[in-house]
Amino acid sequence: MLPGMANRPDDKVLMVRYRDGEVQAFEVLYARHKGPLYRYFLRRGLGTEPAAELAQEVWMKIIRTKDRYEPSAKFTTYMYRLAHNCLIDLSRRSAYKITQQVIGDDIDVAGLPATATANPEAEAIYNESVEQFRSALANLPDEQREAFILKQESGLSLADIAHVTGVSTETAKSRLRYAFSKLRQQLIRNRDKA
Amino acid sequence: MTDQRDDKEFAAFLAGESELADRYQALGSEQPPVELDEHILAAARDAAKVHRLEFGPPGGWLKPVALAATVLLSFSLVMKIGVDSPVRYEQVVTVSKESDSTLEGQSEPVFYEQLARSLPQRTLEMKNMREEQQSEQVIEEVTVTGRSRSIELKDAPMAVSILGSAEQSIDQDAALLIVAEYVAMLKTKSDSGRFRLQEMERSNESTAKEPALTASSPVASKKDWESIDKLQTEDDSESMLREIVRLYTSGSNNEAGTRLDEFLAHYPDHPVSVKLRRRGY
Repeated sequence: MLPGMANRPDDKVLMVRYRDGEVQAFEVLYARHKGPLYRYFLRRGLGTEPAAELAQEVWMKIIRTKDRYEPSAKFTTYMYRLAHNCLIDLSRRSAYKITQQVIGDDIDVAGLPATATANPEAEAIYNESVEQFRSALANLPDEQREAFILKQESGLSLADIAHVTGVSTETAKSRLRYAFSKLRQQLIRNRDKA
Repeated sequence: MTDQRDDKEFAAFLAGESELADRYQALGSEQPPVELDEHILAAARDAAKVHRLEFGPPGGWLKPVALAATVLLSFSLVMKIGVDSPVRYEQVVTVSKESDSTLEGQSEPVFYEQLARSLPQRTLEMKNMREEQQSEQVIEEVTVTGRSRSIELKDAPMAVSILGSAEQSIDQDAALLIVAEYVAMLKTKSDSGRFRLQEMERSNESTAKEPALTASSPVASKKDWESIDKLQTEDDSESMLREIVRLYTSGSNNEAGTRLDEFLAHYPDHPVSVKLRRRGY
């Protein structure tokens, strides 16, 4: 457990408090998950604007349906299930295809983490490796990429990933394993090249 | 060997201990636009306001209102049960000790007189009662020298109508006594121990015998009902008394007086005759 986690109110508790009318609880919840949700859409291949629109759609659904919220499952599972469905709806209504090419366009450079060193050459190498990883992620089949993103962004378990994506735990594990293997091989190839 | 290493590394990845996780973190931690934050938080606040308007704050008015509603409902239920239940109206008229001693040996006539004289007042009270109360079992209890007898108030109007006829006659006291005696007699013969108008009407129309006597009323002592017990075997005297009452009721006072004289001649030892003689008739 990370430092400070002990006093961190559970997501479900926050959502129940918000359901009961405590808006501050929602503010905490939103601050905690707004970034991961937004990045979930970005990494799935959406540009910043569609990612923001879908994120807004998910949050509005959470707000609108708060009175029916039952803390039976993890809040993140509930939220990403909504996000997963929103993305499917988007692809259906606008014939929008989640493509590998979109990912990486439209990236806010200011949002990228600072490089570890002030050395320009090392910085260039670092940035190149990041872009290679980004490209490798974008080249993953969408189902594998989604499983990997869910794992990395919110630390969902295999069972949670299975629930969000509507598949069995074994299928979710298989997808995640493929994603892991492909990304690791890409990493090794890039190292060899360097 | 390679598979085993892959499994190990995958397990480490699942546990969050992998270089891939670091690489993923290096992609950046992009955040949604500030405008989106403001829009969503504003919507969340609006929804919470609506919630407060609809349901109130936690621990606000909802619980007190629920409690008040429960109390109100319970009270209404109790009131409803109260209205639906039979209403008993009881009044005890007690003759003073002084009257008791001066009227020793005449307690029964006093009792009947008290009863008969109280009936008009009781009838007036009944008019002020609600209809549903009138139909319920309302008992007028009269106590004389420590003994009690009861009559249903709903039967009072009939008795008063008899008295009304009697009061216009010259034999008022006798009429009062006959009516009271007759009321008491029918009361003991009724299965329910109550005096009923229907019974009176039936007895006026038919010469059929009265139903068999029941055990004496729990409120009457053995001595009280001795005279009435004697009447049980004297159907003819009963018929005559019934006829006398009917004549008084119909206003034929002269004929009623004649019949009363006949009654006294035929049944000189009848309790009613004895009582009438005591009163100087």
